[in-house]
Amino acid sequence: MIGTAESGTTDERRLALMAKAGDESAFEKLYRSTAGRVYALCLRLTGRPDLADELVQETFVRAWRCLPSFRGESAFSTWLTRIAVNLALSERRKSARLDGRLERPEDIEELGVQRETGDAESSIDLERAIAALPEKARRVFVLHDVEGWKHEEIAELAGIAVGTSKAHLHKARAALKEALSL
Amino acid sequence: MKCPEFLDQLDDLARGRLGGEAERAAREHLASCPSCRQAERGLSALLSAARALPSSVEPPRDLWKGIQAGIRAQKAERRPARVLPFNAARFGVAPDGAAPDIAAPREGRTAKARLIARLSVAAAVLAIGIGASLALPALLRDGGRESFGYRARPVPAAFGLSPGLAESQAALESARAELYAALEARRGSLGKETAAVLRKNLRIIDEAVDEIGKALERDPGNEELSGFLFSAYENELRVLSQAASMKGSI
Repeated sequence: MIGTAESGTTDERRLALMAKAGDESAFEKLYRSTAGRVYALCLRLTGRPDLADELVQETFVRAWRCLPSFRGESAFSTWLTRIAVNLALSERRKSARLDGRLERPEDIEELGVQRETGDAESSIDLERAIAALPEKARRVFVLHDVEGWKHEEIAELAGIAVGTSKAHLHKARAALKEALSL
Repeated sequence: MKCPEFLDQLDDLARGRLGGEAERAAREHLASCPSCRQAERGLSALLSAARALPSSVEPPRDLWKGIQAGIRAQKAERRPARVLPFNAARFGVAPDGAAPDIAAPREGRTAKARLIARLSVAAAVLAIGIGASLALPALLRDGGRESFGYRARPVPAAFGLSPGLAESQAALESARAELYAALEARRGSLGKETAAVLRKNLRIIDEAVDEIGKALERDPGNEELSGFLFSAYENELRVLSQAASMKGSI
């Protein structure tokens, strides 16, 4: 498993260097291998499939533009997710967002969720509950509890205080526990 | 351990980050506090569910076409940079692009005079500061021993500029060198504070040009960056021109 992860990262790095040199087909391969990861993040951050689509495309277009600055010190997918989060948190997106709620529960099922482990039903319930959170609380919960970011990183990227990040997380957790009867 | 203290550590406990004595004390409190037990169960269940979420969700449709269109639009924007309408005469440069001869002071002063005539005064605060310092008694006029830090910038080719823009940049660079020389010549007539502010501002502009230059090396021919580069040059020349030509020179 470790070998697979390492070879995956090595492949990504190799493709990223080729894309950096202008190889569009290498970049397409990178897209194919990382799109699911980026889409999952974008969907959870935005709570809307249409915005998630848009954000994924913007992320890859921005990544192509910024390839000259990719040095391979971190994994390409890590670098990519940072671009996605930056875009998701940028101010201009606020005007495009509604409350961030999925209107119809079946929207979750239409997303083709890949169920790797655990109870599929509870996974869908949690996805739905996350999508129903207020925007700021949702962002912090996704970044902290789902993606594993620290409050300091979230605060820096979102332009908020660490304490504010913690408060949003507390609010998100309380709402989710109630929604899921935990 | 009391409840507030336990709740402070609940996150670390639920994530397995507490160890040793801290974990022992927390678990001891858990055993005796139903309310905290419920909080711990709830958080652990939530974090467990969050960890179990799929790390990858395939987009409902293939987004590559849209991405490819975006990439190709970017490539199309990177056309060879058009020659900016650079009026060489504004900077005391002959229409054929010849720069003022730095080694010939008389011609340099002529070029400087043309600059003074053509450049508008943008840095009003700096101008007031310079004017005020020139009214200082001679004893207080001491721009210090430190030079203003002129250094030649990289050749235009390194910025990936088109030949027309490269020629403009070379002309600007010559005017810049000449103005620095004029400024150094009257360093003694400037107040210490004013000279310090000047050095600082020139350094800021210098660093900005360096950054833009590095960005241009990575993204050659980028029109927006080329525009920034020339704006930075213009700002620098305005500052230098003001400082070198204010009344009150000795």
